[in-house]
Amino acid sequence: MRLLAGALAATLLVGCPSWTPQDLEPYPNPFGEGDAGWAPQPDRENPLEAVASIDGARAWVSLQGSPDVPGRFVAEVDLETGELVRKIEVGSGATGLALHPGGRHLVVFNRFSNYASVIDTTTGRTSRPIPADYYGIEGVFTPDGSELWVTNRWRDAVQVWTVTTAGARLEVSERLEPGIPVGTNPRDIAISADGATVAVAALTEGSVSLLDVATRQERARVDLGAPANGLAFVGDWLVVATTSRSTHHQALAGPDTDGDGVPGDGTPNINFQDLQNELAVIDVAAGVEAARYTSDTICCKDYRDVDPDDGERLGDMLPPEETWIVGGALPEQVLADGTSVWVSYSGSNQVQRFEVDPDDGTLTARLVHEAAGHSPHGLAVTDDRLLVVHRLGETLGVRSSSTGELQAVVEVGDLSGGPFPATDAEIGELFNFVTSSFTVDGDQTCHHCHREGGNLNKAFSMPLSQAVGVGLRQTMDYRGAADTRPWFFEAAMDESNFVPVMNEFARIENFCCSDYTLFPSGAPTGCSANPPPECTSEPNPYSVDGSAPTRDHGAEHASDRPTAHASRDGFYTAQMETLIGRSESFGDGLYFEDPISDERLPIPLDFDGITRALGLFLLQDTHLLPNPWDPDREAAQRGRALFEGHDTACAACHPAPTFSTAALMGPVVTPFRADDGTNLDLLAGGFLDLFPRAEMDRCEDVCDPDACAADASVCDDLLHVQMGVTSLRGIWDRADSFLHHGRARGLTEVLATPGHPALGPGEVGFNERDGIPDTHGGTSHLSASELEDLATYLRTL
Amino acid sequence: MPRSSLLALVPVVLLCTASDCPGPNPPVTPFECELGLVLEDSDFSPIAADGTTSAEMIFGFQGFLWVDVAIRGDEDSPSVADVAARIDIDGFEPLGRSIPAIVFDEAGDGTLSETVQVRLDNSEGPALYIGRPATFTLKVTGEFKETTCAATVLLVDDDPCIYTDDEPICGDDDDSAEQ
Repeated sequence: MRLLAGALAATLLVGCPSWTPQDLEPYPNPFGEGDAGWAPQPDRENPLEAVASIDGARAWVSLQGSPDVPGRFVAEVDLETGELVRKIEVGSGATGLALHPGGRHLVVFNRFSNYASVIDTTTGRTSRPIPADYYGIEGVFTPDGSELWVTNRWRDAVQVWTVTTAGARLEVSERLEPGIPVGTNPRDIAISADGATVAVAALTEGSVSLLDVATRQERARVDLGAPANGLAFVGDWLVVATTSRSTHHQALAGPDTDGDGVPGDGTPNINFQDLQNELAVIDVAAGVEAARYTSDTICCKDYRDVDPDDGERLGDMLPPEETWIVGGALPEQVLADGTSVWVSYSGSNQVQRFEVDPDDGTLTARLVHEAAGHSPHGLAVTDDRLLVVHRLGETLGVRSSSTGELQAVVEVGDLSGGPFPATDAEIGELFNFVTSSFTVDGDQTCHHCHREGGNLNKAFSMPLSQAVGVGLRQTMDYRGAADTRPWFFEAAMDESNFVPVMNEFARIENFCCSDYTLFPSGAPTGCSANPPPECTSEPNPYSVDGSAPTRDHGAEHASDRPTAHASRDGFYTAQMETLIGRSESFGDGLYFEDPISDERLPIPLDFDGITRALGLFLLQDTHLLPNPWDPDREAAQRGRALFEGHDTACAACHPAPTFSTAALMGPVVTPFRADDGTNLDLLAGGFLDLFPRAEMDRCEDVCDPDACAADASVCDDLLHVQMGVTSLRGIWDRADSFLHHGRARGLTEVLATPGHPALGPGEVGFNERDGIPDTHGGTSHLSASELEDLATYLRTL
Repeated sequence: MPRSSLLALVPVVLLCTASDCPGPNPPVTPFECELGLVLEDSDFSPIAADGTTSAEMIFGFQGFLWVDVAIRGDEDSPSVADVAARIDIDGFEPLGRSIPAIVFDEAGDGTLSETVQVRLDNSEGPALYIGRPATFTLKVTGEFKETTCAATVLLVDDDPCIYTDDEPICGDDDDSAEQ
């Protein structure tokens, strides 16, 4: 009834009988009350973006909430008093804010509503909403205020609205929709000072589009090879927050993932050590990347880090040392402030300023400031203040824009359930987004590769592979985690034991008390608390030459030991104590039922405990973005009939409601193979030992035992790994690279058999295994339009 | 809708009519069990009561450390059970582990569990624990059956290598060491 009343009111207001305001509904979660570990969670509002009034006296903060519990307010803050003035109700999932140059009209993009809200800043009231597509994310006005350019995540486009203002109203008189196509999942947007160029960052695709405002055409698309986060113009330059191009492969072996025509990803580090925090500087006029800056800790913290002086390990392929200036983890937002930019680091609770040379775009790093709350995201600036939104902390930090000094912290979200984190699932959420404290070099977070819970448009090499640094595994979103237990393509792990992923953040080889070669008869008692002298005097035997060569502070490129802790569990519990003031779980979701005392006890937040906390966070909500596609469209209905039919048999392996099963099955598409036929999907033997649920052929299963005894790898071209069934829920929002190896580009390539008429020029049909078609469902008999119907249905799931 | 509002709906949803309400759970019944090791030449080797049985720690993939044990129950064993394990290693704080969905031998007489992987540690490696006595206490719960069994072993490690992504890295006394 409430929705109906709202719909009637809005119809009258807007005067358009065909339009009624609607909100998308969150997905149901199979994980709920009654499941082990489930616990009620406090209300949160997850503040995201901020904008300041023209006179700098007030600010507004969008309260986005989450996909499962969307926020629907904007907080207004009096910057003079440092107090929350009011919360203004807007649409569902309030995300981006765009203040009209006149200063009176604040447009709020509600990602789960089919309208944008307009706030009259003089009264704090909303005026007539603007009908819009779902998933408007961010927007910028042209300097003259005549146009509003809006990124749309659903349409993968930028929409242009011509606007007029009259009193409290802001009207759209003309629209360019569905808009100018850009990369997958556009989010951040900025406009040059002269109003000639709009820049759009595609979060999932990892590209930046430069759009010509006059012609409304894409002028250039710059491929970053990594998520494109926030961006800002400074003169002739565009500064973009991103991460490294690397794919964790070997530098010069395996697939050519950097597109330079030779194997490998072109970076000497592998696995998670290849993951860096970067700022790209784009030459706006030329439409090309002019410079790239990387982590200040790219070397030499982890025992595997490649040293720039180590030619044998390709140290000369590291970026020049003068570019090692990015001081925090996961550059999230970039804000122009005169001839400098501020950068928020959501993964390490920091902000940093960089000076931008107007002549050549060179960046010069300034001090890194610790944020006053968890996971800083949105930034805004006035004449003398810098505003930093703490997304998980539920607060707004007010700092001096000249010194960075903290002046005030304003509660803008919801702390009624206690400071964040207040539950064990929230501890997991904190770790997911602010992981860097728990990494040896402070560089990585879970969120680097699972941006906003989604995935990236690239496949990585993963440490579970038998073919180290040359295999491929497509990044997975972590949405719908309860749909697909056990997890990952190999379906071998669950929420309590996905340790090989966690392990990459802080390998035990970095920690002295774990050093089997140093203490062959056992480390001394109390080693962790009181490390013996060997822990600083002896070299780390697990490190090859040039990489963290000793544990001594004085070694070149190793100004600090990996951590001040001698054991990983000691490191983790101490870091959590520092971050949240506790070193054990709350016990609401994570506990241990002692078999002797029958007591239910909190668990330590060590490596095991934090792994389980993260697992709980992944299950607690679906994290699935509500689906904007209409399942009642005729094409979707036709596709559904095909999906559920016996001919395609799609539903046999992807049954509703989760569109997944827990079953393992042989590969349904051709494995990713080396040129010699070796199956590069194969799992490391040690992985199979640690995870007996994983299933892979043994050599003896497919070859002569004597031959296997002579050479265990003799039949690696014939072995296969069993795979789990990936859920299809939320597939509409995923990157365009699909299947376990990420080589299928788009749903058509996934569904089509080789040579299928639905394929366009250059497209490949991946529905085959070793030349046999229809191994991933029967589709060869479908027409091109039927295949599109099937894809249309999939997008509605 | 805030979470608190959603939670308010839960009791309503949980209401059921007399005819479709599930009946009360049956009482939990005990069953007997003993702990053993899984050795290469034997399916199940019971752990001696005097604490002299050596249990080899497996220092495996990426340095994770665990001990494989097995549970032999009586004829009343459940087919699937969850295990809550407490490990008391001499000189260390007790460790707690949860191991879900352990299957008792479907092909045999239904009394022997599959291998139960008890992760000791994710941090220190075996060095700290070599030669120390450790008591494993496992509470096994499933299908309204429950038991607790305990045994003490001596932790040993005969494998001087750490298993990284590449070749094993072994101690200085091993000529094959990759440094």
